[in-house]
Amino acid sequence: MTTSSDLATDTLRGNFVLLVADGLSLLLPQHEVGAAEYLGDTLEAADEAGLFKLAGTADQRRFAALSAQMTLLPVFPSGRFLVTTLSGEDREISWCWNELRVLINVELPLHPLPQVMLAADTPVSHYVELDGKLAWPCNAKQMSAFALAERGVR
Amino acid sequence: MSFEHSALIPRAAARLAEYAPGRTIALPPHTTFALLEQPVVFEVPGAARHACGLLSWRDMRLPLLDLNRLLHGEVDEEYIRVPRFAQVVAWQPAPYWPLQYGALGLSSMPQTIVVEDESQCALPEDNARWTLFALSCFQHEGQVIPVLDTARLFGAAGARKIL
Repeated sequence: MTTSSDLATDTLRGNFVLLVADGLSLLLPQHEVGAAEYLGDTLEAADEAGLFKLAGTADQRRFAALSAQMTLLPVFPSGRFLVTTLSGEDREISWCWNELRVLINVELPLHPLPQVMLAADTPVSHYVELDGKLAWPCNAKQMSAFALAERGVR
Repeated sequence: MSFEHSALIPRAAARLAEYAPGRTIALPPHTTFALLEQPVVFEVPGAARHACGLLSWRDMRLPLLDLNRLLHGEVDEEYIRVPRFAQVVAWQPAPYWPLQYGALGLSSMPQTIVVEDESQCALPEDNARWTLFALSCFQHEGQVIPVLDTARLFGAAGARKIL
């Protein structure tokens, strides 16, 4: 099945992955989310602000954890033990989550955010209600570009 | 006689709303609906800086705005996350259109007063943004109080002009 969001009919249809980072729930198209890994090792701050690396190894991967405002957290939070890469990014980052859930063949009403709330650079323009909570559909490239551009809690 | 004279003076009710300590606007009473104390707000990732989040009210999700940030560019992170009160207001995109709703973060309970026409004054000149969002202005107890136009505020054009 093709994964797509149909904004014209206000319905989100297809296969998505729900990525939860504490107060932030993102819905990304399934084909943009790489296989999940378990993070069992300790991270430490990398040279670049907001990015982390595996402590005591030569591993070149860089890890990131998002805040509820979709910005990079300066201190790595506890509980982010699930790691995925995302496609379409300009550089590969390993993103760390509390929870990850694959949603197959979903059909969810898509609600536009009021225009007065939208920033010019926001990657989020709609929301869906999922299990009584709000989740934010977006794509990996926009999400990553926004988070990396902000570099800090908004 | 003073009583007869005062009965002839045009006057109107106004809802005074303090959006930050010492900063007050007036709302036309017909635009004000529920007042929620300690509102539950859903943060919106990547939202404009003046947007506190989405507020649940009557099965709707309303934009909750921080006027202090919108009008003055000032940030009180603690206040932005959880305003003490949320005043639900109505606006119309155009005459005869259905009412739309939004909400404003307030730091204290609104107060209803009666304003006489002769209290009218010019908008404060220290902030050009008032001309985008205010209908008019009056003096009350030595303070200049702009009257907010909820349609200009929540209609996208006004707020986005200053982003």
